[in-house]
Amino acid sequence: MVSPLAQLLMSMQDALLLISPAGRVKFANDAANRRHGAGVLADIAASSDMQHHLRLASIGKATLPLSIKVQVRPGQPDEQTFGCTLIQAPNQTDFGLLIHQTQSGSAHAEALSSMLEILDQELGAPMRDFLATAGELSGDGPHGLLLHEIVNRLDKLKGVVEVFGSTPLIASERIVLKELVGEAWQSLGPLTRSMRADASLVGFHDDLPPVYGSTDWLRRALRECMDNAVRHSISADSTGGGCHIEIRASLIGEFATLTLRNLGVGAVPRLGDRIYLAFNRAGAPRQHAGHGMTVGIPLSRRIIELHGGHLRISADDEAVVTSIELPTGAPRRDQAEQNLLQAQKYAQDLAKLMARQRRGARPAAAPETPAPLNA
Amino acid sequence: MSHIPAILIVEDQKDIRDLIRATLEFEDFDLHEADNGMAGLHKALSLRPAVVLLDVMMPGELDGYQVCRKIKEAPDLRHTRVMLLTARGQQKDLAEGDRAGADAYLVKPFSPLDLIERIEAMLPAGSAA
Repeated sequence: MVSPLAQLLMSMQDALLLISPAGRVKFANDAANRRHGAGVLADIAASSDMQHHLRLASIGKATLPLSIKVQVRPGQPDEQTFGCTLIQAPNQTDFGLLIHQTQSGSAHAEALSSMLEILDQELGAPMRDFLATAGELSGDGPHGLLLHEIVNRLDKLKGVVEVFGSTPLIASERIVLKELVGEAWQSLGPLTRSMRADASLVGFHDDLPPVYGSTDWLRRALRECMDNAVRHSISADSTGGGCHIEIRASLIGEFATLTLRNLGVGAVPRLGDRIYLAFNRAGAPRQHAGHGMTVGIPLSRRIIELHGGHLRISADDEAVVTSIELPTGAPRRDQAEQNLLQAQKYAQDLAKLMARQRRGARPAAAPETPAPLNA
Repeated sequence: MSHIPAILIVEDQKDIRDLIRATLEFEDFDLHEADNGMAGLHKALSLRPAVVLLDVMMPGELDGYQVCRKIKEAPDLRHTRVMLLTARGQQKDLAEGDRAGADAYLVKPFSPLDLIERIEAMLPAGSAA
């Protein structure tokens, strides 16, 4: 059962966070999650600008409501500035943060949303029908590979519509990383066979903690990263052998890191940060003319950020390295509603608990007899 | 002298921990707490409690299922019973609990009276409060 206040906050068109004085995000409404994702919201709450204003507000040195600007990842290529309003939360202890969209940002978002909705309406149904049928026809010959490639591209476009559009990405499935990696690799099938690509798993021991989120979406994100890694490896044509991807799992604090390392200096050194931009055709990598990166990596990044993680792609002289960080364990969610229900259960049972104690197995402790003063 | 069973509560939500403690204080238990999986595991290994009440969905390095599995694998904790507490009661979650070796499973919000009765059912004969 969702309280009326929570329903109201969730239905707001503005992005709203409830933040503790220490900067922990205790609640984010649908608009906030949809527009920004858990990772960016956490970055906003943890930013130095936000911490400064929370400190002042907590000690009464700021008059609320207060218009503020919050800068996230200053000095980095993906630096962002948000115009916000800091307000007092209903419980008088926490704070509310309204995250505004800029005029131009709002217009851009509306245009993108409209375009994606049209795309979904005009292509969505036939795309889904085609995907359902194409899977049966796909094989490993030239036509099968081409069909698989078309299906792959259509699938990515469908993913863009869903992830960057208005469909919320809400799931709390328990995901074992080794299984996820295996499934994602298997789904590449025809590509890996045509490239004679294989993969080795390192560090996937039983103690590696699970992550929580959407299995389907994370599998998709991982698949796109693997697809990118395979395509930008040194191909069998140039080396005489297949390509090899090392997939390594490690735990750093409360983040599990998956590192994909392939041998092959591909597109990253030439593209730099442009690799993360959606709808930006990157151009053909060295070995595969006509196969640009298009939306795969931006799609993956969006999915991973919505799960509170980070995606980075870099290259050195030997390899292209893809790092995916995901928070382990269950996400911290505001469970005020559930706590309230539990408290109600406690209140309902309180009389029975007290009656049980009165009937109970042990006698009440005898009152202690004070020792005489003159003993 | 009767043995007072030790109960370890592993739950990241302080409000729920406090409610569980308030419930169990109606009985004669030796109560201990931990607010994350790793701390809970370490406390279990040092305390060797009779029962561990273990939240499933906890942030951090170990979730409830992993802690349960490790408790069940520890030779020193072979007499420790584990009850999983969770807001998720789907069949696959129960199956996961079984695979982890849990002895019982309680879905939130739970009846405190039910909690006490289930704990008493898990204790060795003669040690119930």
